[in-house]
Amino acid sequence: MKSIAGAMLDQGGWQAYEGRLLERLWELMDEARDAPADGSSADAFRQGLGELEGLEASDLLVGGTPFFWMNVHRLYGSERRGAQAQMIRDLLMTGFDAYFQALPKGAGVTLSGGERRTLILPKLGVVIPAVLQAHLRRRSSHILEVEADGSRHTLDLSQHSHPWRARTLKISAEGAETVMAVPDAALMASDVNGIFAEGDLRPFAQRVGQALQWIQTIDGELCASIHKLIHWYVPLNMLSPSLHPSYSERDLVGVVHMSEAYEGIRLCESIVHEFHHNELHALQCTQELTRNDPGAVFYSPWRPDPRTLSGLLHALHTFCAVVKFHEAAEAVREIDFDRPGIRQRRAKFCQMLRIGMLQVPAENLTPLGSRILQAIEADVVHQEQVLELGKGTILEAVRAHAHTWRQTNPDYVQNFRWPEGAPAPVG
Amino acid sequence: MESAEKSEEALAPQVRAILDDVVIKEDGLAFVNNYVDWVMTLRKLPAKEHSRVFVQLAVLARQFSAAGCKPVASSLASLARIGLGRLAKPKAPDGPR
Repeated sequence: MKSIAGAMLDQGGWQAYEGRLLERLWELMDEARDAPADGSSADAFRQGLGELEGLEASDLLVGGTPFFWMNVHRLYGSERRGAQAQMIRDLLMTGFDAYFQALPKGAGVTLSGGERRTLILPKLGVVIPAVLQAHLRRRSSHILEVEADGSRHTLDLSQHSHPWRARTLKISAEGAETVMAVPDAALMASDVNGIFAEGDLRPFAQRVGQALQWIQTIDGELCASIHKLIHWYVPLNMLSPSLHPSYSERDLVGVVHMSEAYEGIRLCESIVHEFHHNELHALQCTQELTRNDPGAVFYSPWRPDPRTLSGLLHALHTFCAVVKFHEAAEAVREIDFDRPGIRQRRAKFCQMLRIGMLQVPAENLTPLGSRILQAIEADVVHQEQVLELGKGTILEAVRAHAHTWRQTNPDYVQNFRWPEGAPAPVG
Repeated sequence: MESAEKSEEALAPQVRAILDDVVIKEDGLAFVNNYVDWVMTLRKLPAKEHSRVFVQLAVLARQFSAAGCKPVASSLASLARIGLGRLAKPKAPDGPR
């Protein structure tokens, strides 16, 4: 089943998103071409991006990793780009990694960011120990040559036993999905809110593979969309014995971070949830859903902190998708999971969706944002009918959350809305 | 008394074609169709010789922005920058990218 945002992406949103990626990259390539040949980072910028000149738009889109595009966004958004040595290094590093197979034999890149640093090539699955400067060269489809700090190394990428193997693992031999746990600034947003899990990646990879099979059984169309967009799964440590973190990043479309301890239907739910964040991020890259009101924040029934309107819309979109996924899962007999538990969770999320929708000031939505909210409203109405939820019934836990939020965020209670006739929030 | 005469510059054919590719759907989804192709086409255009194309795109971007259609405004502004950026750098090569 497609979400409303997914349908919008199919109707032109993807095309606009991909155009935005290429436009930014090409603008950087133009700048790089004009950079001085004086041995500076700008020189490396010119030489490194020059290697991508021969690639067609389709090659760039197919080969590009989320990490490469994030570094494109990062450098594009910075001032005095030619002088941003570390950003340039990260862009060239992730670019060489992304397009290794598309580059001609002998193509190479010089990486130096002014400080000793580990180099990470996530797609090739290689980590090069801390170096001041390195030159990487493609010798063949599976041979990578590394000249680093005066010594030369040749890596056979087809051999799994080489010493610089990164903590990455393909989920299946035939699929594009990879589990990755390399906490590196070039691969993460700056405000990371989770700790990458350590240890053996195989159990997590197996669970993700199993979860994707379940999603396929439950909703084949949704699973196809997930396979198309999400190729990177990052396991996170649990924050406490009962707190599972998960998140997605605006500029890292195609990567999901989630608790390493999830399994079964809850892991499916987490994948579905994070996928829908990614979908909305891709749409928002070129489309506005909310109008500018930078200071305005609102109550979200899922969060302890006040949220921007865009953040609240993300919560509504993702949890609505989860509720629909729960409904589809309940209809499938061949998968065994805690059905009463999921039914209860679905009913709770429906109440939270109803309360969350109340917080949205309609005048602050663009027509596109309004259309998304309308679709969510229609889905919630359907769920309320199917689950026979009375509008005045609100779970104790949901009321308690609202009560605590009001107590801890007294400055924002003027934006707080509560269903008419429903029992008041209680502590 | 001299009569003031208003003249409206005709749109360059490329700009007209780009405008024909602007899509604004009922639900508000707005974008330039074939955007990647347009970026590639304009990158091949010598900026000095076709400065009118890029200036007209910049003006249209401003008009779409004023009308509240930010996605299209942003795309047209980016297309305009392809040439205007090169025109603003006197020493940079003007030829196709």
